[in-house]
Amino acid sequence: MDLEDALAQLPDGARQIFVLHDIEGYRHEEIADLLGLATGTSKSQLHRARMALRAYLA
Amino acid sequence: MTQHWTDRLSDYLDGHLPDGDRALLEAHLRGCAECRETLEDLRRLVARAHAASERPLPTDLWPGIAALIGSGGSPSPIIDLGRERVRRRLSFTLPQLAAAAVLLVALSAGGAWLAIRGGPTGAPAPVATAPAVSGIRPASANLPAGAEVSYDTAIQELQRALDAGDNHLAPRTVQVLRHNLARIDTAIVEARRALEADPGNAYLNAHLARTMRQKIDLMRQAATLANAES
Repeated sequence: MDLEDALAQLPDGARQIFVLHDIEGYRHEEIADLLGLATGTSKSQLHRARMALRAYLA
Repeated sequence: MTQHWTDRLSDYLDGHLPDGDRALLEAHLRGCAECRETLEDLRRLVARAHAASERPLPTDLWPGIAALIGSGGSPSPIIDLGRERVRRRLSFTLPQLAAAAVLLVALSAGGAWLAIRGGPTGAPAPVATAPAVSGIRPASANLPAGAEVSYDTAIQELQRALDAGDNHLAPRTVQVLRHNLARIDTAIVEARRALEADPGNAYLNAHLARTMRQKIDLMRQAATLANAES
């Protein structure tokens, strides 16, 4: 499975945070502002997205 | 116990852990092969993501987008509003443009919507209520009609604010703004169309995010100018 296929498996919100942070380079403060989240939520959602992608790509 | 440490690996990788916590995690990593392996997997994943952002746009998926954003040598690159900027101390908050509600729609597959709305106070309001987990309201027929951004709506709102106000922006500036917004809005529409066919595409997601940011930055520039001129 490639990265794009794995990304498609994620829920919309988790995928967006991963794309914004890890691909696009937004900071958590910017993501939180854009998406109306707390910074801590952005961080925890990113971690969950990464762990899910890690499992898909294993 | 391991779960506690595993949950902190992304913060560690991104340099967000306080010094004390970082030291504790590093001490744990020295004795935990499982966590070390997980950390390395996360490092490789982040490296792949960075590589995805650096690949050239697939022109067969997105004809016209590259030209619009200038990466393909567009004959009419987006005009830099910076040249129009007044030299004075400026703020980057959305200003109090009368009746100017700025709504942005972006995003990806599955029709996620992102809205940033400047209300009467001029301060950006939080994203419309959404599930706590994602913070993004999924697109559906349940969205209020006004939640979808449109170039025409944004320009109409801005134009109304300018007309009702004291012509805070010079006509040339407004012309430049309208031109740039039109190009960006076209790019957003094309990006959304492409993502409907290929929702998991990392290039397209990243590119739509970049285009969305261009629109945000442009609207903020305009707002800043208007605020500075008032």
